[in-house]
Amino acid sequence: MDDVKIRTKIMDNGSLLVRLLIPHPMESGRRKDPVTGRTVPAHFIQEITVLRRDKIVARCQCGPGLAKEPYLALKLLNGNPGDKLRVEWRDNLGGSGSGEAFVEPPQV
Amino acid sequence: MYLTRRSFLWGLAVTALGTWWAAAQAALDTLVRPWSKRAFAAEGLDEALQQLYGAHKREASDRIHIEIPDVAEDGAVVPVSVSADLPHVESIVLLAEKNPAPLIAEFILGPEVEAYASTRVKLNADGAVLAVVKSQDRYYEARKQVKVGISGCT
Repeated sequence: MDDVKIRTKIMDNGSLLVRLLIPHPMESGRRKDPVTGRTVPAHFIQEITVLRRDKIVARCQCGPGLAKEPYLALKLLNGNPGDKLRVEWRDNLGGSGSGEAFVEPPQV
Repeated sequence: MYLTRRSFLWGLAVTALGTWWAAAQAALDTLVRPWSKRAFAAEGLDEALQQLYGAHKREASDRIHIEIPDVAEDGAVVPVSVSADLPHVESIVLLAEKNPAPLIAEFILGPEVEAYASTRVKLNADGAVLAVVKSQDRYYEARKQVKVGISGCT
């Protein structure tokens, strides 16, 4: 599923700021539903992978301590306009998602 | 068996390819590790740190910078950024002392990534937020106290 929002920005020092946003409830398994009073089952992203030009550059392993709708920012060396970025995630219930973006040229 | 020019060159090419592959694979393997249920399920900071680092020592370091509000009104969404002035940073780990499960995330950074990670976390109660940074097979740690308005771990 193509659901990850990716924003890129080449910074003044040439590095690439990558920001991403994933729609996900990040349920810890401890929260009670305010209506039914039942515990909402754990449902959270466990791993986020960032690829540039189809090569893994970084990985984030996480638990439900990340806030819902997880936001992540990383800085990659040597930002090149047009480079393909890809983000993949998977959660504890076997769900997964991804997104792709191309590095935007620096704003003049 | 003659060593012809052709077989010699083939030998060179295969060796070079093998060396490159081994290096690339090694780099990838350090990035690919199974999700640690034990570390993420650990209750209590000491247990989480024990699961993550075992007997490895962690040095307090002022070269790690944790950017987080002193007072987090809403513990469900607390912005945090960590950067480190340390060479060859391989990973940045975020923990919250007072969370039911203190380990929040581990960022595994390849050689093309700067020693920086930013995200938004849940905080349960007033306490320390820790960043542990791995650099050249050594571990460095920094802590910052945060007061929490509304608990984010309900």
